[in-house]
Amino acid sequence: MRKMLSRRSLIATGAGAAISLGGLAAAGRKRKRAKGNGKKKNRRQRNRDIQFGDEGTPLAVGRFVQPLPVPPTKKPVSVGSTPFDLNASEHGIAPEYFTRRGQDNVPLPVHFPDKFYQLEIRQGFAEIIPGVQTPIVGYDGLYPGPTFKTRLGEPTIVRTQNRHPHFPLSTHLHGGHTPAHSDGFPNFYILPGNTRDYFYPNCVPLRDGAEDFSTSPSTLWYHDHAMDIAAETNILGLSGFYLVYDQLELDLIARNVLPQEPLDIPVVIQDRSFNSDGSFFFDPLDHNGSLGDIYVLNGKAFPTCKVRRGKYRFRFLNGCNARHLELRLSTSQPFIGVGTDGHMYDRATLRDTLLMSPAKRADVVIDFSDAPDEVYLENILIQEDGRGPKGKLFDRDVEVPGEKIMKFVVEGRENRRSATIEGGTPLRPFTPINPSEATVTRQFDFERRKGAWQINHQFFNENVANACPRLGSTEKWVLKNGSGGWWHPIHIHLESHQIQSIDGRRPLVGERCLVDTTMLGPNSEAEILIRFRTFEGPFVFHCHTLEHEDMRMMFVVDPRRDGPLKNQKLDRTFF
Amino acid sequence: METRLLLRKKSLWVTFVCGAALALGMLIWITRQPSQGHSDAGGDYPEQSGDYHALKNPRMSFVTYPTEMNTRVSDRFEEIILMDQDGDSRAFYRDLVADRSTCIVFFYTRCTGSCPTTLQTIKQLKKHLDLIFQEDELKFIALTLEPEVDTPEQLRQYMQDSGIVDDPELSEWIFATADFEALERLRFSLGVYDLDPEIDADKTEHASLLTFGNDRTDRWAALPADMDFQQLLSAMRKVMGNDSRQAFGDFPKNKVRSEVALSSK
Repeated sequence: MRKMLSRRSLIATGAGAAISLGGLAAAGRKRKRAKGNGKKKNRRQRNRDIQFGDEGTPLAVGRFVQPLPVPPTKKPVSVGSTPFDLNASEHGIAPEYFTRRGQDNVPLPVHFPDKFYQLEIRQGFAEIIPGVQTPIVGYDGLYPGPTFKTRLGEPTIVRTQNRHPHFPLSTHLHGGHTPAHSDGFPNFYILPGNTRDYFYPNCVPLRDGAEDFSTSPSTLWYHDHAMDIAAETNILGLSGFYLVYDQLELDLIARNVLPQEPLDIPVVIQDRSFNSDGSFFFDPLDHNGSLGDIYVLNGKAFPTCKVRRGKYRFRFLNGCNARHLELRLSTSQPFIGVGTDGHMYDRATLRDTLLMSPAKRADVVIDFSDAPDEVYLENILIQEDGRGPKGKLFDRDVEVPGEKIMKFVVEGRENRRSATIEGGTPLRPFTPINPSEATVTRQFDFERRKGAWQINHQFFNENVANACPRLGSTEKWVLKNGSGGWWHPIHIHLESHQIQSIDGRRPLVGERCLVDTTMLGPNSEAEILIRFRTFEGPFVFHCHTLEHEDMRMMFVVDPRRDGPLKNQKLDRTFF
Repeated sequence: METRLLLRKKSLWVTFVCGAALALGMLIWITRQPSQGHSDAGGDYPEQSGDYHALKNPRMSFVTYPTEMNTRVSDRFEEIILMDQDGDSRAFYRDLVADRSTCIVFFYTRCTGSCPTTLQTIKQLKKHLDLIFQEDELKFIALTLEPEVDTPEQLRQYMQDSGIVDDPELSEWIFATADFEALERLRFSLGVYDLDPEIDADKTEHASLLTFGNDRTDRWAALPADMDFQQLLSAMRKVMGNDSRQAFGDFPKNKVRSEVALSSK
């Protein structure tokens, strides 16, 4: 009987389990099928409720309610000793890391032990508008990325891992004097899941055997430069600051000529549009250049910056894809200009407004000593589409007061130990490049054709070195923008350049020392002088309106020992 | 009679219920296991494990992003009804673009300048892309800029004249027309336009731009057809690929089906 029961109970258990399993499975399949059938329709249906940001952000964005954050400083994993196997990254490290020499056996000046960083590119979320989570792609998952602080002559190795599921990426140190392997050439990728060891020697080129400190960089930034998607990755958040300090700048800070941290604040200004679900609005098929209606500074929409009465150093970066900015203070007080792009001026220069194309930086000191309790930072430039601002380079359409993008709340009594910089204070001695040094003249015409962009009637070709200057030589380049309505900010990698003239005139105030990006207005023609030193190519130069760059407005410059040449086959690649 | 008696027994009922509960628990436990490479969670992105490598795992799928809740670029495409070269109606998004890779070009049959060159380039691209994409993963669409002239018959004739044959083994190439206004709306929503109305009125300006993308991975781009062919092809693979092999992998050289197709053309 006992045996019978146990067998019966076994059968019963089995039957019960089978019936319930079968029933559930059937129900599950039914549910799944229903889901499968309605899947697309439901998504489209749902998305019909989502309003896109193409006509402006359909969200209520509170202004001047969030404090301006300062991006965190990136911490090195090791200084002096190698923390990881340098042969283990899929895309390797620059050969110059091992030789410590540039081309022609030029030694790379090293004054400090190697510094190693580990950086990860990954997806995440950021609260840019209060209470709204926006999906981003960020360096270390941050928006904007962390700030690197390095010394001149301090070799820096950044092991970068790409954890984006399908973007092939390539990081460019904008304004850096770096080996070709680590310069972010558009197809020297970090493929999804892989790593690349970027080697930044943080050196200045040598002139007559000595370091040329007049080209010493200060405010650099890093961003993604991958082919076809530079515009999209910039919108999604791949950018950050990279600051280099040399002895001269540290002395200026120690002597209290320049404000020091925390009164030295890097600020990246970006224009973004949002969809009603909080995601960024970006149309990869808008080839003119995308504009946004929300100004995001250091990752917060229309922030407020609390300051005490005294002098602050701000390093403004135009991190927009296509929007040009002309910044002004609501008090009409001038900025004390310290530098443009990566370089400090020879003397501090008063600037009423700061005209900045995408990628340009303005290193300025603002004196809040006599400021009222509220001061606004305004953009006064009128720009309606990706073509660029209204008007011409020397005759821009502006409106005063402009759009308020950040509020300074000025508090307290005057800081008696405020920095001493004022208009005319000597900063970094600068010896201009002598025009007679130039041995070769090249002309580049930037134009629109067939729905895309060309230089000298050619689309970007990653296998052709369009210009091969001789290493160590100086060249004169004529950059010509023949198109009527379009603006093109031209950025040249490897070396900064000196603008000799634009449209036959002296360059604008603030553009008279070294720059790494030249703004070309409609029908503009610029003459520039540029030296090519230390590293053999390939490097690129291109329009920094990122949509134009993606649509092939880019050329390869490859300094070689056997130059000057043009239109050569590329002989070095670092995939 | 005996079973009815048995079912009345309390102990048996208890065992039956226990068995059912056990099975139910197991089923729930199994279904709750996270499925690999795919996340059903609303706005969450699947967390990638740190040790995978695109090239080491050549079949890594890209179709994990966006999740269902995300907007897609294609949500803003005009949904219009096209008429293909056979006179069949096709909804642009639902029938052609949705959940696959597409390459779209604008042209017109009377065009003698850029269109024939562009279509020849697409023909070459198609030959190569058919080697790595399944026939249902990819579609080519040529849309007319002159619907008043280009009737379905005209389009079919043009296909024959340009030697474009429909091979059911390969991805489909559709030549289509529609109402002029609708096509113009579609052209603008695809970004194939110039801000200067004078330049925009010149049809040949639009006839050498290839717009391509993958609705599943939500990647889109456009490039001029007369740039370097190999770079155009590699850019299209990167943007249109469903997985790392289609995007970055080597070209398969031993695909019988495709070799037959190649030699027949």
